[in-house]
Amino acid sequence: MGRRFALLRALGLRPLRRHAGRTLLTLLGVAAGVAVYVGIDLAAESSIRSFSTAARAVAGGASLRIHHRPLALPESLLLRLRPFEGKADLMPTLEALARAHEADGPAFTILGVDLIGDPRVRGAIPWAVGAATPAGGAGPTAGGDPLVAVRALFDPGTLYVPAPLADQLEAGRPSGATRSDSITAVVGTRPYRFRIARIAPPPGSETSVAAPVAFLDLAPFQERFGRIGELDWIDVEPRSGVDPDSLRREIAARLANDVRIEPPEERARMLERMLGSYRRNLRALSLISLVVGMLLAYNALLSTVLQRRSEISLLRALGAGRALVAALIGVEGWIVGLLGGVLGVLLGRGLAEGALALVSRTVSDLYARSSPMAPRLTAGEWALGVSLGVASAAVAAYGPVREALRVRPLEFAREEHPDAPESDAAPRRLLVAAAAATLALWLIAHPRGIGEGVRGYVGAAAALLAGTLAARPFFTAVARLARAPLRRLWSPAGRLAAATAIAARRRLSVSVAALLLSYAIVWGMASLVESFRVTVDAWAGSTLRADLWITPQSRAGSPAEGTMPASWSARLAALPEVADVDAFRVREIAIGGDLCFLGAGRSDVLARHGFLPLVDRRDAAPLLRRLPNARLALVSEPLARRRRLAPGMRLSLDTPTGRHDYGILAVYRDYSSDRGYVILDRTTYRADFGDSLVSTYALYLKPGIPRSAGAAAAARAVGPGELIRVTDTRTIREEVRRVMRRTFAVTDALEIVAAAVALLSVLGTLAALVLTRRREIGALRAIGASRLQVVRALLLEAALLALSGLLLGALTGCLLGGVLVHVLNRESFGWTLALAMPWRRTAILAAALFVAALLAALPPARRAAAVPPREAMSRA
Amino acid sequence: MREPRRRPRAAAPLAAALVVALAALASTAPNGAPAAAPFDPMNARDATRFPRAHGAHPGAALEWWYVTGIASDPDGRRMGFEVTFFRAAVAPRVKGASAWRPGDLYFAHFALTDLTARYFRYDERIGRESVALAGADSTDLDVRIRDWSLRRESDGSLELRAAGSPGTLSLRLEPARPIPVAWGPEYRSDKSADGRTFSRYQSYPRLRASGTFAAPGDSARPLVGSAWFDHEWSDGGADPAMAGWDWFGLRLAGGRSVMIYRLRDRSGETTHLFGGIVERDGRVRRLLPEQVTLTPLRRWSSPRSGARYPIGWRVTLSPPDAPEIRLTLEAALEDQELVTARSTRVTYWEGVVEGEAIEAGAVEGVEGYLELTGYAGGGWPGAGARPAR
Amino acid sequence: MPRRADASPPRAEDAGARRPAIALLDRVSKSYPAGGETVHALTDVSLSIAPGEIVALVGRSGSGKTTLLNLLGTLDRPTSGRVLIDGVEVQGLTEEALLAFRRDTIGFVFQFFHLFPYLTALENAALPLWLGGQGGPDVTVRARELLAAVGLAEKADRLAGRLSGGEMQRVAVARALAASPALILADEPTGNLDQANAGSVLEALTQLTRERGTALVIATHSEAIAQVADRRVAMVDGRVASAS
Repeated sequence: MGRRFALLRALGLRPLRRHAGRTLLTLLGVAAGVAVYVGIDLAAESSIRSFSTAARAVAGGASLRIHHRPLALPESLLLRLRPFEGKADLMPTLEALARAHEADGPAFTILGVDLIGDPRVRGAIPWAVGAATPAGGAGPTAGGDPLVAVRALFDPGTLYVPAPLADQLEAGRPSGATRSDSITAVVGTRPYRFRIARIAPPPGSETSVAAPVAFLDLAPFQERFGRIGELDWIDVEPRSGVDPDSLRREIAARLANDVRIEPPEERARMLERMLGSYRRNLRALSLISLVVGMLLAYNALLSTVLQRRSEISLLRALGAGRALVAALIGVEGWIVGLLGGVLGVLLGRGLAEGALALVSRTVSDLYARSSPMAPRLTAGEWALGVSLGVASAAVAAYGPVREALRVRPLEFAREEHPDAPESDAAPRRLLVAAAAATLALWLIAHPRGIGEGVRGYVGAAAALLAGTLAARPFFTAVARLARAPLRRLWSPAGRLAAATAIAARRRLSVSVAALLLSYAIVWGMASLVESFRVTVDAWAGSTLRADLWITPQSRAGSPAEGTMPASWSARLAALPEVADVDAFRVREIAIGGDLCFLGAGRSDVLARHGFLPLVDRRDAAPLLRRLPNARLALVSEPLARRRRLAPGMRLSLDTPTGRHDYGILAVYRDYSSDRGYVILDRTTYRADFGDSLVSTYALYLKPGIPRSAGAAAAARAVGPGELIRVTDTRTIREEVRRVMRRTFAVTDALEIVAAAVALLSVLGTLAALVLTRRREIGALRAIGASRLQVVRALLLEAALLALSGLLLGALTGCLLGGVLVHVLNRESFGWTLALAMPWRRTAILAAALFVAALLAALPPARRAAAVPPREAMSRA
Repeated sequence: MREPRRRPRAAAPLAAALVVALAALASTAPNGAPAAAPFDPMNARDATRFPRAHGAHPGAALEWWYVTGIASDPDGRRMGFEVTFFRAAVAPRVKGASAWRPGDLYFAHFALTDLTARYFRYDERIGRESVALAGADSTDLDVRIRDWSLRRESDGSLELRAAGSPGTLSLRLEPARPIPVAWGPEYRSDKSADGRTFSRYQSYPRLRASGTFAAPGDSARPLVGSAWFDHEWSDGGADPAMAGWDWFGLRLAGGRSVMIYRLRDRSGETTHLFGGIVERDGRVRRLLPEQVTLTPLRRWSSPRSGARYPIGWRVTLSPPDAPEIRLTLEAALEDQELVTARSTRVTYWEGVVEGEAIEAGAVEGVEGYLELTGYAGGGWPGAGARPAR
Repeated sequence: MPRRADASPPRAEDAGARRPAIALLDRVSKSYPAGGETVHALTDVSLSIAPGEIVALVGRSGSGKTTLLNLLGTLDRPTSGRVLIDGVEVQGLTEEALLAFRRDTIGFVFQFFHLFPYLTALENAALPLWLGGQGGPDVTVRARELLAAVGLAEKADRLAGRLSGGEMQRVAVARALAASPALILADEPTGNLDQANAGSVLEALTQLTRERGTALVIATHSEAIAQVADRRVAMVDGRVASAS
């Protein structure tokens, strides 16, 4: 065994040093693939974790939550719960979404809790009642005046802020600000001045940077925010020995039907589910770079085998078994996989930092408030990274090892052209490729059916598989077709390039595949983005018809954040500049475990001025006129798809006046949220939900009134004390686009890495080819080829490679784009998009990749030119 | 009005603490001038009308309900228990304010002395009078903080419930007579020599206790024993010279009960002493200061607070028209100190004492509770700004 | 046809010979460093090859055959001494000039053929001409003639990769002759062939060089080849041991 290992080391490892450059390249390929996967995964994980921490921090680890979303609970509900006080801690809570006053200041949540008795702030606030203080336990900390300390807790001007958040809030303050211990928090449209009292982060929330929560006692909370008599929810923590499930049943039996009791992380869980699909998409995307990296490793290992063919043959002749030969090649794969995995994880950690900002913005934009947390490199992530590295190297080594095993003993005696493939198996490859392409096409045509949820991935995989399999036949065909023009254009070099390209088609086509994969992905993603852009632009252009939008300044994310009083409606409508006012209310509701938005607006105003594109292309106006005072609803397309809703069906909603059924009139197109909307008329909403607050005012100005004049008038009408944001439609459209760009910023980064790995593959392949062709090149130089001719021939070969990669990549990309737009997007987001091709972008990128491929070919070409002609001579 | 001097029992350390605190706050608190109030919360009518007198007396700055007792389970395991509810007025109710803005704050202590396993544990609660967290009825005894409660049932018995780190205690307490013992006329106890401030003080010195106790992680066991109940309220004010007090609540095996307290100044001298004996038939015999001799026998130093508590006593009672009674008392467990950092923020010793009483050669057993305040730290809780230590 | 790279290359006339030598080595030594010491591959070798002469270069492995061949082929430069090919002192030429000179003056036949498998036999044969910048139908015609001469007329348009070893080497012979060189250097031309193929290749090689008056130097182990040669130069330890 020991001797065998020594042999392996001598024969397997020493050569690694000999072709250190190539080994490094392989390593980089594997590492890049792993890094991208790990990096993106880490970024998504930490971004989602920070979001969940924020969502769950408010839960404080309680087992159950009594709530009445989207409405408040009457605080008198606690009286009905008195019988349960012996069985559980009841923790009444109020919530306000705030934002530091500074422009775009950090968003945070103010929780109203019982500061002196709530176990959730135990330890953070000195007065919170602790658990056991057994004799001999606590130190003699008693003392101080109890009432003075307690009274401070009820001070309406003091906000209790965990230190990490306090730091964050202070960091965001303009440097000119003097008083560092106070802030202005904007809640809704109102500024609230608070003195900051720093407290320790509540126990169990060591991650409270991501959980930006500040505390106020219930009394000042209710008084300052006008919430007298209300609670947002009551957390319930059963005492030890009390079964949460039976407690839940007992409490439920005592509550009104419309009040819910469920685990508090229910909402977080629902959001996490949605984030899960975002994360899956990212993962699927980052797998691509793993595949591209794998192709690079495959090529490098194959080069090793081909270069050491005679050596292997000699070994076989000397009696080496197949296992030794396999180990010889395998050991390189293993080492590369292992080191690549480790390097990849480390690189991925760095990458995650960069990707995090992008991912976090998207999570905030699309789903919920969150602030980024440092990526956490866990043992699991290490294991994942390293095993991905090893696995991809193992997969990459499979072909080369098989190739090595095919080397016959004493083959070295009759040297053949080393690159000649045993067989192209072109018909078989093409057949499978055609089948895969057909599958992808079929899925594009039939996006719905069994396997929904994975059809998008299947389709994307099929498209990419088709491209990959077609790479060799395609490349060969391109090289053959290019022969004649090349002969004419660059006679000897072109002729040689075509000939050597065909000869080395096997290895070259792997690089072709790498290139086509990355280009196809860029193409596919770009067409998804382009389709989004075109569709959303058209949609925004036709639907966002109001001239001005008024929103509360505190709104940081969800359209449900922050409200304004209904009384502004009349004031705004009375303005001479204003033709019409729509008062729109948005609330978060849960429909069968899906979190979505309930929107209520004035359908008469919408019918008069607006445009609502219906999925079935009917005219929306007559339907809108039927909405007022009727339990009728419109639903947005993403919601309709997810919940399988259609016109004519009924939708049940919990309201403060009981559970009501709403007839679905129509499904409308909406690209503003993948969570989806249920739209009621404001009259119906007010009657059923007893709520008159407004989330957004939309103003339609009279003809000829400039928007700036309208905005100024609106601000005046509202009054100087209200912190509102008046946005014109153009800004909104730009915002929609900005969100979209941010959403796809991560994918852009992924594309760049994939392209870089593909270019590395081009470089590596050509370098390896030059190595194996030294004698051939020597002969060429001997019989009179100049250096320039040699360089030109290799560059032409690279050009052939790049050309076929890009051409096939474009074809594959079209297919992939179709899958992404028509299948994956529908499954993930539920949007209907018109497929649009990103010609300009892809053309520019193709040119860039082409040039880059030629540049990548330059170093190997120069090495080739330096091959001395005497290499052609026998060494004997 | 036979009693020449009436002093408040001042049993709870909190009492003085809160009184002083309130006095300090009087200038800022809108209700700082009780004299101006048309309604007198300390009126005698509300102290003598039952069951109304059992309930809370809103407007009175301080009020507490105090239960101590000793009981045993069928296996002979004995334990002492102390459950106290304090009410302190913080601010007057304002119309339109949040229901969570507390007019009153509630604190509670729950201590358990396991006399068999010889350990002492306690827990504490704080709560505001609000929608449901804490509160007290003002028509009858019904006080609670979250799940800790003390309530009078329609049959006159008291229901006590407390659960925390010492375990879960659930007791029914039956007074021997429905009307509580008055240590002074109309339950009045002066707080100062000139009688300008006073409290109302009512006791059930001998209640039959029955119920269950479950040690943490254990199942509930039946419990039988006897207990002492105090209810006291006052409207603030205390002698600034007062440094602390020693309070005795004792039951003699023969059926009599004895209550004595003394107030000390900073030098440890007795400034006031007050006591009484409840005879078997319920009659109350007052004890005048010169009829009581208190001699500390043994002291114990707390490793936590450094306080030296006198936990062994000789008490001599010499009523004018009866034989002398000599009591020897020893703490059942040395460490029965409470450091209430999370509620009242005072450190005091309150625990089971046992011993014997000798009267005319006859010996009978004695058990009860001893409360020692003002020994820890040297300061007086609430008497101005003072470091935590 | 073939142009000289330089208008006035230094020319050394061999006074003693009736015709000028096509290749002349004058006291040539070649040494190179290997593993910390200096290997003397050739020591003080003088050799003259007349136009049209067929010389067999024999000797054991490591005797300096290949080094000698590299020097004759202008693929390498001597450490000392002079190398004159077709009267040109090659040391003095720039690389570019040497490339053109070699293309026009010297043909190569390699042990491992070094044909391009995805070029046809014809294209392989025509390659030196194309590399030299010639084009048009003349080149094809000439290549086809040469292939016919080596007996591969009917396989001219077949891919080189599809030919047998013997056929490949005959294509290589045709390629070596394409530019009408004055000297052909063959490095173990039959080393990778069976006997029958070796015979046909050798026959083609000798016959065609004789017909065209091209000098031929064959480095070989094969006695059979040595028999065919006009002269036999035996190499031992970097020196010419005997020249018959």
